[in-house]
Amino acid sequence: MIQHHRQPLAASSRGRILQVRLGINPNSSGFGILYAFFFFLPPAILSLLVALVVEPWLRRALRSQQPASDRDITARGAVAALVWALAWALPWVGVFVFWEPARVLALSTSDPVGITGSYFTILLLVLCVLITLAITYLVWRCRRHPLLAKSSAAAAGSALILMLSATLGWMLLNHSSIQEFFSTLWFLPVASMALALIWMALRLGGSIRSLAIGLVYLVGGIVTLIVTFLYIPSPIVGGINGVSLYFLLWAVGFPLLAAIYGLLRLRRTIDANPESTV
Amino acid sequence: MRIQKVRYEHFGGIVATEDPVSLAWVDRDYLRARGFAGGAIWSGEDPGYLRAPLEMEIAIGSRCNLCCPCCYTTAKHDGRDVPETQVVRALQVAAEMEVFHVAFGGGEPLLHPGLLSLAREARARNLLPALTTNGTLVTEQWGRAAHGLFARVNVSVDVPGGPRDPHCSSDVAWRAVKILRQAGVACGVNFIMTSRTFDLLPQVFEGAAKAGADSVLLLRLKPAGRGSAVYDALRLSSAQQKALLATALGLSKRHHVPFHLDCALAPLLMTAGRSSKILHLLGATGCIAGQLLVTVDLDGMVQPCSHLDLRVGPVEDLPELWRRRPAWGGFGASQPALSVRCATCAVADLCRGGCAAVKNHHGLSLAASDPDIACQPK
Repeated sequence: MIQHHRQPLAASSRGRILQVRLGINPNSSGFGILYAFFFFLPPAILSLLVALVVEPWLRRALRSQQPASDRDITARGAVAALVWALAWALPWVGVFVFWEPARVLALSTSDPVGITGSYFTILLLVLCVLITLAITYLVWRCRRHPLLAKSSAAAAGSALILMLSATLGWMLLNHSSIQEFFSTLWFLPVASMALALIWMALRLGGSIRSLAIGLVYLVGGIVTLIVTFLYIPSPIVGGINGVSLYFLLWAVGFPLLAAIYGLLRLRRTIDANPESTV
Repeated sequence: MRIQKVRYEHFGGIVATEDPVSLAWVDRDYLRARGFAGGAIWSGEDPGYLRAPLEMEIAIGSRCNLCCPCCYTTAKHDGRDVPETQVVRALQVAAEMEVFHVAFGGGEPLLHPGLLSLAREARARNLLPALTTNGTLVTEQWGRAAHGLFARVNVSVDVPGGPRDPHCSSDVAWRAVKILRQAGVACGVNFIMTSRTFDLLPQVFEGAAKAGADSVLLLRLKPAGRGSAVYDALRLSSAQQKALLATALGLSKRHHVPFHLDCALAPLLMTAGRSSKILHLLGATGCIAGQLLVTVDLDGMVQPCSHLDLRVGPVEDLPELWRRRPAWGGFGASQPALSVRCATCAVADLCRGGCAAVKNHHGLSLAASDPDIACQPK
């Protein structure tokens, strides 16, 4: 067979155009040499033409011709990437917005978490931005893969619903007074983020394979947090309230590692089995 | 640019476009990155050949109102039309195999009463139809009907002393080109070069430019059909072949009309010092019979090339026949075992030793080198 695909010639940013035949043969004489003058152009100019003219044409045309299911996958993948980014970024924006009023309120009540240093806040924000960027980048890289699109969109959507309902429940549990109600407001973004992270890690990364285990982690963690917060005097460890340390590990530390590990693992799987679909 | 179809191949896929018509070979990453998940062929072993031909030429009749001495066929005034149902069957097979282009041939296609209907059948199956006509039957009404239906209509042109029916004026062809161009049909001209008409190339390019043709397809006289009788006397000389590229390039530049070379002339360009990178990038091919092209004759039988009498089987069996490569004889081989002259040539895999019809005319095997082509192996 005529081996037209031996040498990848015209590279695009993703994938390569191997060969371009212009025109159509109007009779039985085969393609032969179509537009022979092209063959006498310098190779660099030809490559440039392919890269600057043919490739953009093809890309635009293909965009409208994707199979329906693939278009759907791409769209869902893009939504997934957006939701991931928002799920990460919004809670931290919330921390920033709520931090100062919440800290004042917290100090005026029982200083429930004990995270009071401004440097810590800045560190936390920088960390959150970096994490958000990293996670978003990872999701963006593999957003068109059916596996990610399907599981990520579902995971993110579920996470948002859970985030809202659980946070509302958490607030209701604590509003014995107006003042306390407001003091728990600042938990909203942090707790939301925690729930979103946990759920995504559970569904997407496969770090927690069993749904039951994931739910136990989620519910158990919240119950433990409430019990320790309400009834157990917390020791101060390194200047930080023990309960808050537990909270950070439960809500941020483990889910963060699980989510990143899960995404990297997903990326490896996609690289190894590029054709796999769900 | 509109996508005609995307056909998955083992290496990735072929993206066919319309307006402009093109075929782009792309790798798997390219398609995957654009949301195309591939097919079963991506997970199997490389079969060593394409999943289907790129184009199918279908003979729809053997009638012609002219009797050109250099014609590749033996079409005559009292020929016959192929029943539409038979042609539609071939179109259906082509569509199922995801062939891209179909060319209606045989005799003069416009003599077939169902030509436009067949073109619509092709379009309905996402196949791009094209044809070559002698131009005598092209009217403004036909031109309007052909617009949007045929991806290309080429008109065989004549010049004084040319290879066409001496009773037909060349003005007929030029007029047909003008009508088709005015109707918005992509239209070029075909010109069979002989030793006697080679020097008339300037007239052809000039006429093409004046008529508004978008290209000139230069064809080599072949020992097929009526051309067999005049081939030895009229074939291009070595000197003419060696002067062809420079002449055509100069005329193309002067008249701003692109030109094509048919498969039988491809060795001239392939060995003209162009880099293999360019040859590959632009899909230069010599003989593509049974590789990228199949033809269907008047009886609905598949042949690798219409210029040869090698029937592989009925068109209905083409999907199975295509996979049975030995059924195609030497045309089915991935790499042709070529004789000494071509064996060491760097472009032998693309050129495949020149025109099979010429070899056959001289009683040579497919492995032999085309004895009448004046190329210099690389």
